[in-house]
Amino acid sequence: MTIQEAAAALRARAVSSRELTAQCLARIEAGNGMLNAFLTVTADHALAAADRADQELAAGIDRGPFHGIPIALKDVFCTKGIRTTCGSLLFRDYIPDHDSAVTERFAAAGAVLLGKTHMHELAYGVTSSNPHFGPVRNPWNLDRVPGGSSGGSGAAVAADMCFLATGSDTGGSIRVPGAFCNVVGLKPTYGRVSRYGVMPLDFSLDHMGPLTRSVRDAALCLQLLAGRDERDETSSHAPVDSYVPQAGVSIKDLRIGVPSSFYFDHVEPDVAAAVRKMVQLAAGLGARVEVVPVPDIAALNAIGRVILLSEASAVFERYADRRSEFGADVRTLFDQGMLLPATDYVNAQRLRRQFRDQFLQLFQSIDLLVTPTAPTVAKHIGETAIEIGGVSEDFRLATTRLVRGINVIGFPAISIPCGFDAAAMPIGLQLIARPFAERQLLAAAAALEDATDFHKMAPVF
Amino acid sequence: MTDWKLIAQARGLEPDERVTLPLQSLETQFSALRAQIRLETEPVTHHVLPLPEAGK
Repeated sequence: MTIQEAAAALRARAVSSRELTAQCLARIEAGNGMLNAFLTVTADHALAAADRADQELAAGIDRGPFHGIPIALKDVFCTKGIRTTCGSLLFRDYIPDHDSAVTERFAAAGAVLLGKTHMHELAYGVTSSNPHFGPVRNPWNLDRVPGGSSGGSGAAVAADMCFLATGSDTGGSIRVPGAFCNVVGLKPTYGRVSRYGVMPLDFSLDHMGPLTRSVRDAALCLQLLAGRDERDETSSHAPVDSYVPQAGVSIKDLRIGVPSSFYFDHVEPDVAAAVRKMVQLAAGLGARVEVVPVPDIAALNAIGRVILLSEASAVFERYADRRSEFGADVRTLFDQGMLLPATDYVNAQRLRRQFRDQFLQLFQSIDLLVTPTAPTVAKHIGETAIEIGGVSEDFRLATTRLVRGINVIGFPAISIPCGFDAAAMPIGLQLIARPFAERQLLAAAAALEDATDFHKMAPVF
Repeated sequence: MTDWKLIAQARGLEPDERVTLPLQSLETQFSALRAQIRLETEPVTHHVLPLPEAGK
């Protein structure tokens, strides 16, 4: 069931928020031992909130589409009085005295908080194989990773444990678990959603967004979360649009660019085939598809790595004397960032401006760029390298290869389900739009979703 | 090329290849990019992103 369907059922009195919440809690109770998708479950809090929502709806008080809907927050979003660990031993006992802006908006909308989802340590990685709290497992295959860093959110939504879970995306951390778990993952434009009260990984690459079972649910979420927040000086003044696509939305004459290089190189054949099939579908729906040259994405990724390594190490330098509390992979990245020269960081920021301009130029001739989200499907827990076409690559760098650069330029992007490989593992398609064009991005994603059934496929675990 | 092991030791870190080898490859990529920077280009800061601001 989607949020739209649940919201309609609540208003028709076909179901109560308590029933929806109890169903989600039962799914968590039954499945979390296997998936490890939740770090904290707030069952009593959730049932009390559900009862309040039912009472309000019965009294004619309607807070909108999230009223009475059970949701989860990645454990980077501060929750007043509820432990927020960031997947780290550093914060294992941290109980915030404030809510994040996202937490506040969901609460004001009457959403029911089920708990906090598990994640890669400090949001600094793509496997969600957390050395301190155990690995999150992919509901499509328990031996495989769900992606990360928002792996618990992807797994929880795919496993029907909640209707929506939030994520943070610094180099693909919403879109990759979206692709690996067969759910929708939306990374809005930088500054579109407030970062206030979110534990940072990075100063200029962090984006907040939802993982959901449908594009329209992601749009509903953006409608709720978008807008200026004075407490986050990077949040944008740009006007909030109407994001939720209408039924029967059309992509006729939309200009969709297919990259002529990089994005389909060193990609698993099943992944490339699934994405190209969706491109054909888009053309069949009336979109104007054309092959376009793209800027040097390998260079953009290098720029992104310099910025992320430098900024993340600046964020966590205050904990440098607690090295034993970092997991091995995160400590390695932290050390790399400590060694990079300041000149590299400044020059990366200069190059960033040039690449952003190149992308703005590209988007004068197209409305959207379509790519695979990741070059592979989810791999087995513990794998540190992958091989595509005889070439071995570091798993983290390979998995973020097609998504990281978009964080550097701050453009909005979405991953939607687009098929399965021979082992029945999900494949994701990424759409990228120009800044603040989320309305167009979501409309196109919804049109493709309407024409396919991939998002309706659910794992049996 | 930079001797990352030496720098790591100077910073009081173990010269761990898991740290230094990725830096070597990143340096190779990034060195090639430096030449592309136009002289007048200023760095982006998070105050500059996002790009087209309305209402400001």
